[in-house]
Amino acid sequence: MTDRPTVWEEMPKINRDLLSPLQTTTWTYYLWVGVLSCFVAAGAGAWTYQIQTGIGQTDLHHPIFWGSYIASFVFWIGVSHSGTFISGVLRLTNAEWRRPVTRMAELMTVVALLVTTLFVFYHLGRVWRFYYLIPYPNQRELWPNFRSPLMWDATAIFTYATASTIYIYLPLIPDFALARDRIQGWRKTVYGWLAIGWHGSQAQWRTLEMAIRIITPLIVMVMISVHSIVGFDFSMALVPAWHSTIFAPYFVVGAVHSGLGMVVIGLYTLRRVYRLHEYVRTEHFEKLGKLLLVTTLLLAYMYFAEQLTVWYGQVPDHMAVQNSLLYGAYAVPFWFMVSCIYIIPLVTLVWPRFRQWPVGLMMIGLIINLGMYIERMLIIVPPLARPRLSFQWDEYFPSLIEFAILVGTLALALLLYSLAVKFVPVISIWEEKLGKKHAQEH
Amino acid sequence: MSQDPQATEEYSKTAASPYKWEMVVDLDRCSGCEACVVACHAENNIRISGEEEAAEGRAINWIRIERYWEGDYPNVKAKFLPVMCQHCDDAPCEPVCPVYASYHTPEGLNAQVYNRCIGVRYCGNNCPYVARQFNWFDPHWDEPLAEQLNPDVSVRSGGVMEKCTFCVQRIRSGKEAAHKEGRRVRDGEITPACVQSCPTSALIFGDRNDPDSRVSHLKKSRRGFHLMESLGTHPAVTYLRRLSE
Amino acid sequence: MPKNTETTDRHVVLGLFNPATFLPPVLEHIRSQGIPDLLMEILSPLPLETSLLNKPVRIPLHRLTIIGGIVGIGVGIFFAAGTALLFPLVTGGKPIVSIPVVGIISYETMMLMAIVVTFLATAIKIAFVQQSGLRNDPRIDEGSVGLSIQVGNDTAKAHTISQLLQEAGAFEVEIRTIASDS
Repeated sequence: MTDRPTVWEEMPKINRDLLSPLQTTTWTYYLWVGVLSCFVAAGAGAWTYQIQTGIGQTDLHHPIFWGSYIASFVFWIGVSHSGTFISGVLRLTNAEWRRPVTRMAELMTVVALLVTTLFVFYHLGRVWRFYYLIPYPNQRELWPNFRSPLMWDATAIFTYATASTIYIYLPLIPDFALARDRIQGWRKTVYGWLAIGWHGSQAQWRTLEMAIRIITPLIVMVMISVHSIVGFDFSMALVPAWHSTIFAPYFVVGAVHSGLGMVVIGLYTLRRVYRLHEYVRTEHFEKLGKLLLVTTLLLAYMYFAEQLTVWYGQVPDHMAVQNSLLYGAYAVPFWFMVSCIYIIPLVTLVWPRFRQWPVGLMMIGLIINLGMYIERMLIIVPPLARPRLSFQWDEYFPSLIEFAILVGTLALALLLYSLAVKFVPVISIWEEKLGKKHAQEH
Repeated sequence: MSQDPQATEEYSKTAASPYKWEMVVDLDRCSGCEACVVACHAENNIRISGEEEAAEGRAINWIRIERYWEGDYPNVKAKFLPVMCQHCDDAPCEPVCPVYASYHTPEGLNAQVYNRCIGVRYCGNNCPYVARQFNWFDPHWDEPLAEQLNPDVSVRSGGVMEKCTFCVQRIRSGKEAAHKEGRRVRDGEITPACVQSCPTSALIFGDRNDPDSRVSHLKKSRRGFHLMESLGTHPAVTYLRRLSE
Repeated sequence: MPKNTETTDRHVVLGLFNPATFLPPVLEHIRSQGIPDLLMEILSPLPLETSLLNKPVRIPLHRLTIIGGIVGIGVGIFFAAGTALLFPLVTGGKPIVSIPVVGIISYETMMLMAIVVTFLATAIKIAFVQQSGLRNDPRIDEGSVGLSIQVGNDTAKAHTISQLLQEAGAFEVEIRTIASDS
């Protein structure tokens, strides 16, 4: 041991720094929460109106039975892959740089999954009968149909939501104990319950570490299955351009792509708002930039493989869809999407200097997510708009009510995340300490 | 009456076997008059959509006449294709329903249970014939149209998928009448509203399991084909090709 | 159990050390006082790699995970195959029990049960350790290592050990008495 400050000596400062968002709140925060609440209220109003008057408040009409709600559902599940990918895969590969990123990404996962579930309800024609989807014994002896990909989806998302809540909670236990000992008032009681008597004995540490070691690979496997099944929702159908074998892996990679973009945005914002520059360094943006470059290339490769297969085959049913994308009714969003998720990230992220520019990466994250949202819409709408009987061809653009609900839900996600930041340390404190210890020992 | 004694004998042996309802659409006879569409609306309590909703693509039609133009002006020809639910034996819409609102009856009908439907609309996407229609709003009928609803057919609320049932209420009453007399339903005894109203008799309905029925004969015609046969859905609607050209 | 308040009180000695000066010889001294490793526990703000104490930590967590997973497969088979057989409805010319579907649903429920059971076992284990009279000290999280020793009802021994800890370099020693609540 040398004379320079060891991690042990730094601990009071680390505790102070990382707990400070929980302890001090500025007026701008209240303003932000207030504004978001207004948007959420507007969205809730729009949804109430839609329930009262009918699902026809959307622009959906036959043959386009699915639209922005399902696209958002797919999008938000994609965002939820941020946490699991970052903390799961990086924990699994022992990537030390993950430490300051895991918690905020896992928090995104949980929030995104809550929001995802909402979109199922927005979408239902008779949402008040949603419980028909739940397998429970009833007097009519009717069960849901597990042969429907939607039931696979429901099962997978239930598993994923439960698992990610557990996965964010376990590493939080020592941090809850830390907060319990340092924060007063009603929150102390809540932290006390959540810390389940944590006192940092080696027996507890060993149990916790073993549990995390066991659950990490499991949750990575769940993550891959969840978005594969979301892909199956489409590829199991006979719809031209949906019925494709590449959908499952393509959806998984696409989810990680937008999830990573979202993590970069969150990382940048939280670092700026809570002055976490000491913990979230340029190095972390650079690493995320590299990962984004990998997902960009992987996704572009899969997309190209998919479209080329369709184009070379020239099967009329499929070509109707592809033509509408390449130079038909959906050409503008299509080429915009292609630049957002492939071209712009590719030409920027290949430059090492660019990857060291946090603002630039944050903007790439925004562009990717905008592009991925459009991509979800383009996966769903054009194939439905070009059924085999050309007499039925039609177009679709979300209605005002749909926009109100979409924006309200985005505000809800931001609101939940903002509230969570005040309750949960955004950087895992003990893992950060451990990382510092490892760094000093090697 | 029978042309094939062996088949008739077979049929009487299996008199207890279920019916398999089948429709034949003779494209050569269809004049595109849409009488079937009107009859279907009246029979099945289909909601009135109005001009605006129709423009939005929300008019509900259990049967529709698709009109395709062939050739260039002035030598254009209109071709008509009546499309209704094809009651596929391997229906793509059925297994995707998460709540069993869509299932297959033993008589080969593709049934829709309105009370069970929660409106996820997956079945609508997965129907290659776009035969499924959705109630985007609660139905309404202008006075006095509300007074003429068919009491045998339930009115569907908003948020529910619906589609052609082959006039299941007529099939039921036909079967009940036959059952009282202790016999099977005779060929031609049951006619869905569209079949009944077709002035050119382009639509024929009957039991596929009855080897003497008109549909059984017509189905074997060299003109017979199914819509999108390559999808393997095995529809219960057989189309007969046009004779001209 | 004798109803004697004096003898059922338990003492826990907690010494706080600077991690730089916390050395294994302390443990030897305490061991020589007749305290087995089982009654000692090291408290730390982060997991320590080397286990200084010689006590076998047997956590059959992975076994519980596997059992949970197997139960989960059963749950999945019940949902995907069982409920279909309970009320068989034909859809789209498909079989009533579809093997790939059973596979997919069982996979998800297997993961669900495996993770939930692992979690519950972990939570119970973590919460249960607390019952043994160990206590938390906020100062540990500020960068020190705690050594906690259970000495039973022997007050004299508690004082001897606290003396020992002080000599070994603990910057703070506490004797905590837990009244029996019988």
